[in-house]
Amino acid sequence: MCLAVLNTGVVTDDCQDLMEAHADFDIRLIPQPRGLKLELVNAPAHAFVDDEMLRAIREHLFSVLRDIVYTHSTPQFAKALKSNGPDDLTNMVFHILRNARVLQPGRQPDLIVCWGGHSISHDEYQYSKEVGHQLGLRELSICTGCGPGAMKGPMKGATIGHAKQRVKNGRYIGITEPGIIGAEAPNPIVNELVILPDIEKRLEAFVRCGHGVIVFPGGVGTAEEILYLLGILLHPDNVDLPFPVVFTGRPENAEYFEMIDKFIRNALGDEAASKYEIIIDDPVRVAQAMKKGMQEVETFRRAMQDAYYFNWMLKIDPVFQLPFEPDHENMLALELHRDQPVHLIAANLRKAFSGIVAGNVKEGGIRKVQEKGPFEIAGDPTLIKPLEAMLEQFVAQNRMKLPGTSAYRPSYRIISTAA
Amino acid sequence: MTAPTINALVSPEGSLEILSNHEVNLLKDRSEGGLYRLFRQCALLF
Repeated sequence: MCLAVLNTGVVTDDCQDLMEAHADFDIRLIPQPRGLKLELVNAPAHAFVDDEMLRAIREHLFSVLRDIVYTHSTPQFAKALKSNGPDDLTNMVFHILRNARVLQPGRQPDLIVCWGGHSISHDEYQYSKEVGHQLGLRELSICTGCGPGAMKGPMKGATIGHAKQRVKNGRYIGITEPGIIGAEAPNPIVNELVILPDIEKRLEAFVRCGHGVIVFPGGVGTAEEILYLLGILLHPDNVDLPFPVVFTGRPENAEYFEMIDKFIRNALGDEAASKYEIIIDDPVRVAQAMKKGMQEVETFRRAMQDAYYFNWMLKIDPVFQLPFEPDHENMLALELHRDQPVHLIAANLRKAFSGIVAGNVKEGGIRKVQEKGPFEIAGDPTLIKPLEAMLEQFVAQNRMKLPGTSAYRPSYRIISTAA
Repeated sequence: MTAPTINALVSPEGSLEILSNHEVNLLKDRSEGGLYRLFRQCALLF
């Protein structure tokens, strides 16, 4: 189990390691005459305070139960889970969020999605916390992938900002999925936890219920999120839709964001780069940009008579919604060439990053890589050479996985061109 | 890893306090079609 929740420093982000280290952990349902209880066997002692389970963890356990039951035992979803219809998929995201009470009518747009690595340096973590602090002081709320690192920092900072402004209803929403929750355990600040059935629905949940996005330095998971977001914002139907996006980091991260910016401009063109602003070493300006963005979102939604709590108008191409199953065949078959619309290049690059994430930290992905070697990725050299260079930088900067006892072994291999 | 462990019985905090028999059976089902494995995997969160 990931110790991240208790702030004692993360031990591992490898789901397989986690499973093996806690092979004797068990959880059983104990139905009661009125209600139910959970019996935990061999749960880590640090989740308890004087033999009472930490309230946040208890809450998270029952959120997990709520979403699994809702997603997998509701008859209508059995069909939707297998559906290819874009409306069915969006509806499912809506229903899961509503059931989790994440959609709150009457609340002004204030939800800032923070993306960034779980494996970041101490200084980067402090910076993400300061940005959260400035957001909190402006009474904005935070939504993240709910793990450690850049997903925890902004929530911690915002908690302090909210306390100073006497904000009592600050929201720290964690949106996750079964494949990643073990590697990126929810930090205990998270006061609303939602488990979506897969990565594609998780990403859709972020952009439908969030009102703006801040990106901190990260690795392949963050790259996947960036490509997903830009691919959607580049859709012609979304051209006039306000969606504030800021990339930010410390002075030493300037180079990192230059690299990302260059990668995006090369792969997707300059229009894609117009969708975000890069702000280096200035948490106040980041928070001000978001605050201003919230007003624009509010004005737009009011004019369009769209809800504040769910971005119905955002057009998401089905290519971003349909689950991508990363395996050797699918990874090698990815269409990484320029003979397609730019949002589809984004979609295919998104899948490439998604597969590398799976090979790094997800149980199924790790197993496949162990059995058959790294996933091979091929395509147009003008796309995959820069990809290879960027991935090498992620490895060199320890952004692939938490630095553990062993060196990072790539879950991917870039091969020259498709046969 | 030999971190100390605890056995405990916990009551709901926040969401979901009641289940149908069908749901209970699904959550106890350790086969492929059941939800036990998924639930245990997601509960490994602390």
